[in-house]
Formats: sequence, structure tokens, C-alpha cells
Amino acid sequence: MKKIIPIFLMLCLTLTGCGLSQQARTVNEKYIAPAIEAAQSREDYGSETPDGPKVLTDKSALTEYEPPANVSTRLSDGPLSQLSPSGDYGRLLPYPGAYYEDGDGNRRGKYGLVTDTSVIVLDPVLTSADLACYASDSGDVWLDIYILGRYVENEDGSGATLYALAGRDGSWVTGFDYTQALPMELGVLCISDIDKNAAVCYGEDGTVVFDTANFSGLGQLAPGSIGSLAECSGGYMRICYANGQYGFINKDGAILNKYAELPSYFEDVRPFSEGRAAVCLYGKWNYISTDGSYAIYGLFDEAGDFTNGVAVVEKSGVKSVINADQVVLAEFPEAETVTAYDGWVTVRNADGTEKYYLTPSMTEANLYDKALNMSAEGYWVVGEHGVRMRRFAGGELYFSGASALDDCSGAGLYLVTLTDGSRAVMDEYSRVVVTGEGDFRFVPDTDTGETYILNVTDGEANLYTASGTLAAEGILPRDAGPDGGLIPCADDLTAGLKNMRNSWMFRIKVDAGD
Amino acid sequence: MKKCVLIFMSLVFLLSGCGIIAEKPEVTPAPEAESQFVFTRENFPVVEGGAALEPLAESVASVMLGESRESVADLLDFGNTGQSYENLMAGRCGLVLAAEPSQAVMELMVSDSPCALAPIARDGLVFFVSQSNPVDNLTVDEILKIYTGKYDSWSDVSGDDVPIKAFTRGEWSGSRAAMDNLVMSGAEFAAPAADASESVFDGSEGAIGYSLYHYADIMRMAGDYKILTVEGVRPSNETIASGEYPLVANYCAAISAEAEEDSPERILWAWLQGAEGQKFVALQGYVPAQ
Repeated sequence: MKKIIPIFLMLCLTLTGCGLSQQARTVNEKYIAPAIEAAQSREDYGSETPDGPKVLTDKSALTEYEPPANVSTRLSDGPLSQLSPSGDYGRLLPYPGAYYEDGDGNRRGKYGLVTDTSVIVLDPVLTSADLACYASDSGDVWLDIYILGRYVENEDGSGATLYALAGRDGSWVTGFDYTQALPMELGVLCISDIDKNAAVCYGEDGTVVFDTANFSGLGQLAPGSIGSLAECSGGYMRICYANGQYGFINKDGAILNKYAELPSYFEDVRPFSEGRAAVCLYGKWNYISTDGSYAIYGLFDEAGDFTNGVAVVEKSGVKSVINADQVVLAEFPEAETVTAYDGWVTVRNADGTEKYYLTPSMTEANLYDKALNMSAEGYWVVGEHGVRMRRFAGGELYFSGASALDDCSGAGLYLVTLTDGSRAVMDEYSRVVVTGEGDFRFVPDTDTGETYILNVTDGEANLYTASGTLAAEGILPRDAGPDGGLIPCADDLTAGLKNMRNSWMFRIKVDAGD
Repeated sequence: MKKCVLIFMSLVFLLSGCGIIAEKPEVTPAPEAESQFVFTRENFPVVEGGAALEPLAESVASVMLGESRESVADLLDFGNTGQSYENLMAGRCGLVLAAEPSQAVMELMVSDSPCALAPIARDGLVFFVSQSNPVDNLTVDEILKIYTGKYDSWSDVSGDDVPIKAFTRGEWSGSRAAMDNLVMSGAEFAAPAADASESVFDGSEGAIGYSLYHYADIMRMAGDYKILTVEGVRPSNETIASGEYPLVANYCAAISAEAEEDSPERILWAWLQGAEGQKFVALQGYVPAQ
């Protein structure tokens, strides 16, 4: 029966095609040909299949599906669930390669490690793999150490993430023995038992910089206070004693001033910054230097950290700004708050007005007598047709069409909001480098220091070069930028590393777990 | 009777073409051509779904918009079945293409956010092991006993004396829903549901995992592993279509029940069920539902 329908229709087609009439041709085009196609469809799938709505289709751009292919090799056959240290890997990079469901039911990525020649040395068994980074007086410092996280389940079904360290080149690796791993000036502080103040600090070559078990005064420290060791500058770490007092200790376990005729215990201390640490004794603040001697003896009621050569102090209700030689640069008797930033001091008066002073000179900032805004590179005002910024380093920049300056890269790129509400990255000549929706952020290459622009729109993240060229799409948003020109990326079925020309340098199929 | 009608119609047509019946036949007004719906980037619905149906979704979007697979990727979000159904119920997407949802999701779709659900394709729930595992076949009962923990060694199923490491998947997973529906039927998994340390099939000697056939074999996501026969039947499009393979699940298209009759999502949903859509499903390498 089904075969008769096309035969009948073909017969009609034959007859109408004999030149009987134009009307017949129209009937053919409009009704018969589609009917044959529909009849053939029913022939294949049964007469119960409904016709469905008529939809215009265009198959011209459709290509055959090609399953994704791996672009990788493995260090060895079989599971690679542990990183075997080796001096032959070269640089290692974390790659996303699997998913897991956390305790809240959220799907999260798992990471493995791969060489920059696409050899997998660790399967995706890690819940995190981050290059260690700490903030110093001069900015973020990246260490050649990976902090690796792994979820470890207990027999009772509970679990926790434990941490290990590995050299960036995979030449050394620790066990997953630590509950916290804190990057700091001396390396990475790894805490194994916070209650017992048990911690080890590893340097970039994998050697132990210090082990708190070797600190002779360990028992004098307040239980659970070991985390403050990561507040380290100038080689000295902040410590808290069991009696509630504070001091400083170095990597050799030597307590600052312990054997000197200077105080080694204080009621409170701040970490060293720019070679000075504020210390409080008998309710008054002074500053000591890293040799333990008093560098500034001012008996202040309050004392802040040194930033860009100045610190804010208060004495008898008057706030002042001093330099490292204890010279009072400015006094603000009427000020409600005085706050030092990297490049300027903000003074807020009781009436809510604010003034800004450039550091370390403490000259008042002014730009065309307009309301000022401050940024990391200078101070700016909104004009009729754009934003004008005067840089701390000297010179002025103008961003045409901008209504606000949102961020500075430190490398000649500026994120602005345009008058229509959209965002744009401009260069110092007011040329638009990238524009679009979503959030923009500047990220450095952790190896080369080169600046890239990260754009996240509706959960999709793309990376652009400083000249505005699309470097990589489908990247995984993270704090760090690329590493030596490679960055973790993923799509629905694959993941790996792309270079800055948006090409996969390493790619594996990822079971989405679906 | 139908043959008679056709013969009569042929005769009528033949005679009318030859001018025998009437010199000037009365022209019957031709019915208005049914207008074709045209999809554009502006009206194409947000489509989400399970990973196994991503190639189908790409090809559907490609022919509807006349664009390449790569260029329509921004309109699709695939890889998380449970999230897709949640997004549909929350109104964050217009059409879901995914494995039949779990019972829990199905109940929500019935009670809280009514959805129209229709099968568009079929697939087999398949099990895979490492290539080194000598076991080639399992029965459904053996699979149940493995996943409920009654069998804990491969020697229980004529394999080596190696502990069984059964990998399961998260509750949002489409293949997990198929596993629940086709094998477990309310039985408790012995292994914990996918957690941080166990969710990824690791290919180790004693490992067993499961997925849907199209995803595992056609899309080659289990390309390095050995897919088992079940009850002696090898999964293939033919054995799944015929029903010979014992573990067959549906892929569904789902829209909000409140979607207007002429809305793009309902038109696409109906097209996928229709003759043309089903033919297209088959051409893309899936087993059509009809």
C-alpha cells in the first residue's frame, strides 16, 4: 500500500510533465513533490508518524559530525593517579580533564598535569592545581610551585580537600599531607595540624625552608596561631604567643630581639612593610626595623603600614602622615579618617568631603578643580566628552567617550565605561582595543608577565591580546592568565590547553559525566 | 478498499489529463500552501540538553539557520541533563534535548512546572570495562548485583579475581537516570553516587562504568574501553532499534506545556517528532523514536 502512493504520485508527475498545463506544473511543485517526500518518510517510519510543521531548512552548511580527537600522549599506559617526580618533564601545566560533584551538588572541574609538549603525567584527579602567588610590597609574586588539591574521602563517607606541593617542573612533589597551603615570601607554608602548630615551609627548589617542629619556642605559641607565619616580610613572620602577645620570628626559629636589650614581646604588631613594622607596647605604637631596633619612636596612639614611603599615624587625636625618617609630612587635625594607598592618601573630613594627596610628596591632587577619582595609575575627572587622567608617573591621558575609568592594567591598557553604559578597553591614545558586554579584567601571563584582557559574558570567557586580537576562546575563568602562552580551555566534550592563536596545543575528550 | 480509491483516483487523473471526461473541467480551487516557518537567530529557542544529543542539536540548528556546526555552538548548551531540565522549568531555556529525566525530575515536571515531553530517539544503556578485562558479557541481573554490591569480584561473573570498582554518575546525569530506570528500579547503589574521588571512570583493571551507546561509541567518548554485550546482545543502532538489546532508553524533546502553539520552541519540538524531523534524526546517526 505504501509503495503505491509514490507510484501514483509519480504517474501524476509523468502526465503533468507532458506539457498539459502550467497549472499542473505548479501543482507538482507545490503539492506532489512534498507529498512524495512525506510519503517516503512515512514509508520509512510508519504511517503513524505525524507530518509535523513545515519548516524551512537549509542543509548547505551542514557537515558530518566528527567526534573529537585527542591531541596528547601519555607518560605511560594505565592510570596516572600519582605524580612521579622527574627532572625530565620541563614545564608542567594544569589541564581540566574531568568533572566531579561537590557536596552541594555543583559540578566542578578536576585537573591533571601535562608537559608543554602535551605528555600527560597526571590524570585529572586534582580538585585544584594553582601556581603559588603572594602579594608583596611591589605587587603579586608568582612562585615556581604548584599547590595541588585533592579530595580525600574518609571511611565514614565524610571527606576533605588535602594539599600537596609540586615544583613547576615536576622535579619534586610532596604528599597530600596538608590542610592548608599558604604562599608567602619564603615559599609555601604547608600546615598539617593547625591545633598543634605543625607546619613546613617549602622553597621553590623543594627544600624545606623551615619546619615549625624545629622551632625551640613552638610551645610558647598560641594554639592554632601558625597561620600568621604567612604574614611575612623582610624575612620575619608574625607570631602570636600563648599569653596573647605578639612578636616576630625568622626561618631559623630565631625570635626577633630575644637576646637583645630590646623588647621581643608586644601587645600588638603589624607585619613588616617597606622595612618597618608597627609595634605596640604599653598602649603606644612605634616602628622597628628588621634588625630589631626602633626606627621610629613616636609613641603614637595609632600607626599604619608604610605604603609608598609614608604611613598614617595618630597622636592626641591628630592624624598625621610621616615618612620613614619620622618626618611629619602633613597633619590633618580636622580629619575623620586618613588612609594611605599605593600612590596617594585620602583624607575624609567630618563633613564628608574628601581630599587627595600624592605620595610621597604629599602635594594635594587637583585636576581642573573638578571632583577627583583615584585609580592605581593616577587621578581622573569626568569631562563633557570623556575622562581625563593625570598619571602619578606624570603626563595626562584622555579617554574619549568614557564616563568612568574602571581599571588600569599597568601596561598601557585602561578599562572604561562608555557613556552608553557598555565597557571598552582603551590604550593610552584613547583607541578602543576591545569593546563588548560582560566583565573585563586584566590578567598577566604568569611566565612572561605579558598583559591579556579577559572578557566573561554569560559564563563564556574569552581572552584577548593587548592589541585586541582574540587569543583564545572557551577559556576557563580563573585568577591567573596564560602560562607561557598556554591557557586551560574547555568545550562541552573536550578540554585542554590553547595557545594564544586559539589553537589546541593539547586536547583530550572529557566525559561530561552526563 | 484503499487500493480501489487509488485506482479510481489514478483513472480520474489520467482521464482528466487526456481531456476525456470534460471539455472544460471545473477548476477546483487549490488549497493554500501551508506556510513554512522560518527560524532565524532572533527566534531560534535556547536549546540545552545532554552531551549525547549535542551533535543532533548542532545539526538541527545548522539546517534551521543555514549555518555551520561551529557557528551555531553559541546557541546551544549541552552536557548536563539535570541542569537542562531545571533550566527549562525555570524558563531559562526553550527546548531540551536529553535522555528521559529521572523520576524525581519527572515528578517536578508534572507537578510544579508542567512540560510537554516527547520521545524523539532511542538509545541503549551500555557498560564498559578496560580492554584488559576478559569479561565480554553481563546479564542485567549481574549488572544489578554488581551495582548493589552483591558481586564485588570479577570472578563472580566468570572473570579474574579482581575487585570490582563500579563507577556511577551524578544524579543530574542522563545516563544515571537511565540506569535508575532500567537496572536499579529502586535498588540502592552500593558505591556512593559520583563524588569527588570516584566520579571519573579511570580505566583501571577492575573498573566498570556506564553511559549511553551513542555517546560512548558513536561519539567515541569510551573509545579506549571495551563495551560489553548485555544478555549476549551487542549494542548497535540495529539492536537498539529492533529492541533486541535489552536496555533501551528514550531521548526526549521537552518544552514548557505553556509554550504557544506558534512559538518557535513548540514548532521545533513538533518538527522533531514529525516525519521530516524523524528522518533527519536517523540521518544524523541516531535511532529514531518512530
